[in-house]
Amino acid sequence: MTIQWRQAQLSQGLSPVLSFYWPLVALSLLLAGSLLLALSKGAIVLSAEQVWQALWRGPAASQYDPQALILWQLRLPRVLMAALIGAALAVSGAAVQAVFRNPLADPGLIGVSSGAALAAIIMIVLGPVLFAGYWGLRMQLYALPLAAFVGGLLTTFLVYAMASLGGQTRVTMLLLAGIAIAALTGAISGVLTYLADDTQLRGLTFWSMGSLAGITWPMFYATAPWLLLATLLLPCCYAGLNALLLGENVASHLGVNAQWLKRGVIVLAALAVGASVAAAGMIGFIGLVVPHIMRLWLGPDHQRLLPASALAGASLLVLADLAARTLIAPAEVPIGIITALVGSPFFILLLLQQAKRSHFT
Amino acid sequence: MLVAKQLSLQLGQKQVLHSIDLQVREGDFLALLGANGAGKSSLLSLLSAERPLQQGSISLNGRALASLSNKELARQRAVLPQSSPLFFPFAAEEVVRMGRLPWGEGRQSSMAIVEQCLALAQVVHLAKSAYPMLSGGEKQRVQLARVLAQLWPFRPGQLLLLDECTASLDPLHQQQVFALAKWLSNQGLMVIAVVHDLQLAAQYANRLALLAAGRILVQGSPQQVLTPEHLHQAYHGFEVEVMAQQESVLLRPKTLLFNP
Repeated sequence: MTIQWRQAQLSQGLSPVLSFYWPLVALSLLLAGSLLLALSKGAIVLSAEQVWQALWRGPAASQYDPQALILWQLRLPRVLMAALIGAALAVSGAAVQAVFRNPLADPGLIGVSSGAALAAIIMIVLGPVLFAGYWGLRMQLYALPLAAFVGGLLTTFLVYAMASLGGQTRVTMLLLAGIAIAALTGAISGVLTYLADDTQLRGLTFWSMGSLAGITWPMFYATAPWLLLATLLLPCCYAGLNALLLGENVASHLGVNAQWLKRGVIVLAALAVGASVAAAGMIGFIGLVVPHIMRLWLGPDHQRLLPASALAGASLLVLADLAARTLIAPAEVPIGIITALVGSPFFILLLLQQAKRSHFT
Repeated sequence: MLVAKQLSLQLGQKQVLHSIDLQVREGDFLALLGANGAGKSSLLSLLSAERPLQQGSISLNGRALASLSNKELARQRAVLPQSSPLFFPFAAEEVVRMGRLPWGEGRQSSMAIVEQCLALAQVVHLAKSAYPMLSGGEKQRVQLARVLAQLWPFRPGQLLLLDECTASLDPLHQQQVFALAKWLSNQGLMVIAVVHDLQLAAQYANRLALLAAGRILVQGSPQQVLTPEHLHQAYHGFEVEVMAQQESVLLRPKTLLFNP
């Protein structure tokens, strides 16, 4: 990897510790900058100083100060949610790629997203029938994210159980079962889309392209723990994930409990993806593109790759959400469209470059 | 010392191993020989604890293999497989450093060990190369360095298992790998290698075990094991002439006439 070697030459003068960690420091600064930018921009523009003052005075100031109200009640939950979802999706993507030993794997491959999407679609289309009346409507508000979460988890466990028949978990089976389940849920979703009326259809489309609009503190508190769990625990598995890339046998010869590691990573990724789908719908490309770019820059060592992916994924989604709510304000672009619009050309460019260097295996 | 008693293994309907008894002492270099499907690799997978025991017992230096924790085991035995595909662009030295995983030391101290192991496996010049870009033989030698890093600093009683590890190597590097394994056994390590090249086995191993249909047909010194009768029996009618039998064994296979 040319980029990697160039960077190695560049940092030869620094101390070994510093030269290993400086990309993480740089990415942390990028995240801090993105957060500040996203907090200050919007329908009402706040200066960095105003943001700082409003943050300093705390949420209580929202009662009399409109700036504090905007910051604490509207922007902060949304921006923090974007950062957490971005971090969790990117780090889950990187870890799942290690488990599948394939740089193009994605948590979506094992059926998490499709299961979550199916549950959400069922809830949108059949929800009014299931929850009729005033209380039903109120429940539907919370039922949608909950259903997405449960749907994602159920699908993962179903796929996982199918792949684990006969004692040990086979990755090929996991992939094939995931693809089969995705096709099945796709078909059912298709039928339900056909049944949906116009309003439901619009809700469906918006949701399936992802959006962070309307994130409130209760929604943040309900999903943040799962996202945090994956973001903080997955990077601790770096040594085992490195070894797993050499094959499960070799990893177990090196003292890694490969079965448990695989299970742990898949469950954590499923929790993270389920929670993010529940909070913001389907946001593609983060889990695939961010780890890939980080790998090109820093090499495949998970000790750096996992935290770097988390930081970069968080920054990217915070900025994408900023674009989503400011580009055609007061209307909003679905965030999935932004990540795909920016992500795919960039990704294709990277793949072409990589193919030119014939590193692609 | 490695003691295996009454090992049997059934995979599906097939009885792969029938009550195998095996003892390997410190400093032994044991070659497992036998035709395809004789059970060599299955036996190795039991000895490496990769496959759980069905029947019988294995103890390593007085402790049951199953009672050792993953980490304790990883510090005492290393396995060099036939091939190790890796699709991520790790540098060769990073692959070797993964061998230090069971020891959990810092990056700098492990890199010092990695350098010495690269030198022992004679792949210092490949240290910075991207592993997926190496040739099959180069990959295998880098893997050898990784296995050395796992056992560093080579204490008596450690176990090294080689599973047809020389298949992708040219003659010079085959000799190199076996010479290194021999040197390790001289340091007091126990080396067990699945080998197809009888001549290579005769040259380096001090003990041979010839497997046929899941049983040990005969074990002992190369002179005892490598006789035309044993080989004829173990390799389904393979005809071989033994040229010399004093200092080392020299074999000459008889030409097979292919008559479709």
